[in-house]
Amino acid sequence: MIDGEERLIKNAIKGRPSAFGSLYDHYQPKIYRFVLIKVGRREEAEDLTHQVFLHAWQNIRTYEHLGFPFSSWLYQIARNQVVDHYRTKRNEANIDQVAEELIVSSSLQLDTELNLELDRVRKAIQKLKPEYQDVIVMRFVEDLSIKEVAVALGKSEGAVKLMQHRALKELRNVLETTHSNG
Amino acid sequence: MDKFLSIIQKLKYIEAEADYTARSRRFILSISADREPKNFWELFLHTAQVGAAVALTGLLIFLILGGFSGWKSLSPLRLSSLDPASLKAEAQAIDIQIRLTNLQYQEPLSASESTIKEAAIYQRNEAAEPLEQGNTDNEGDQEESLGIDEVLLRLAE
Repeated sequence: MIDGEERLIKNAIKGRPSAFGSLYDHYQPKIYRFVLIKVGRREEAEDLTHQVFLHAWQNIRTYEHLGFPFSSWLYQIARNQVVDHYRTKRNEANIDQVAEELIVSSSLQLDTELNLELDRVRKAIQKLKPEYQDVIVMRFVEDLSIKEVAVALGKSEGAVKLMQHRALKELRNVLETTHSNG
Repeated sequence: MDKFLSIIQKLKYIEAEADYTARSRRFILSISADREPKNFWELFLHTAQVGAAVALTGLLIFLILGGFSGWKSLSPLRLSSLDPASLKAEAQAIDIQIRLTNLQYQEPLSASESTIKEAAIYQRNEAAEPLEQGNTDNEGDQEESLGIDEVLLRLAE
């Protein structure tokens, strides 16, 4: 959550682009990562992230600030965009056949071994159920609290905890399986 | 488990390309957001615009749906006379008149009719001649002819 987020949101609702620009700068990398890990392809992740923020900007009036981070609302939009994307696309490409280099931050040293590891984890996450993917990314990549994840997913906190437990267990199994096969 | 989680957490270093981010941001912010009115007057103007649009639409629908019934009673053209049956009868009547008129003017005159016409013209001329003579005879009288007022005056004397 950014400092003065509530004020930025109020100004964005009044139609001030600079306010929404600040929200975009803060949340765009998070939403992009979330979408990329789920869809696996950079071009699609870029298109979907763009759609998420465009939709958010055009419908900012409908947003009600209830004390939760603005990101919860953005994650909801992103999840819907991804669902719509898969509904129309129906897995045109097999994710295992897509060998794309992840664009990583310049602050992280570009280690080939690390890149392969990241790619392996990303593909393992993509093999999970969509809800498990959401929980893993929100909790461990974006460091959202249980409460924030519960708001974004529209579930109770107890349900999120249970899903997190199951998601980690399943991810571990997938990673072990792929490691032993590879 | 810690190593496992630390690998997952390294996914947070994934970033979008800077060019894409700048382009997307510029495009989104160039579009005006659907925003709420700033103050009372803006709200009033917005409401008035919507109200006027609704009123005009209603008027248009009223004119389209109810316009003909009003036109029927108000119009000098009397659209009630646009009844197909009466129009047809009227059209037929007009056709007949035209045909008769054409017959009168275009049909060649028969011999008897031309003789009658010539006789009539001759009689008219004969009748006109004595009148002309009479007129010449009375020219002197006309100089003495008096008006009614003068005659009455003389009688009174």
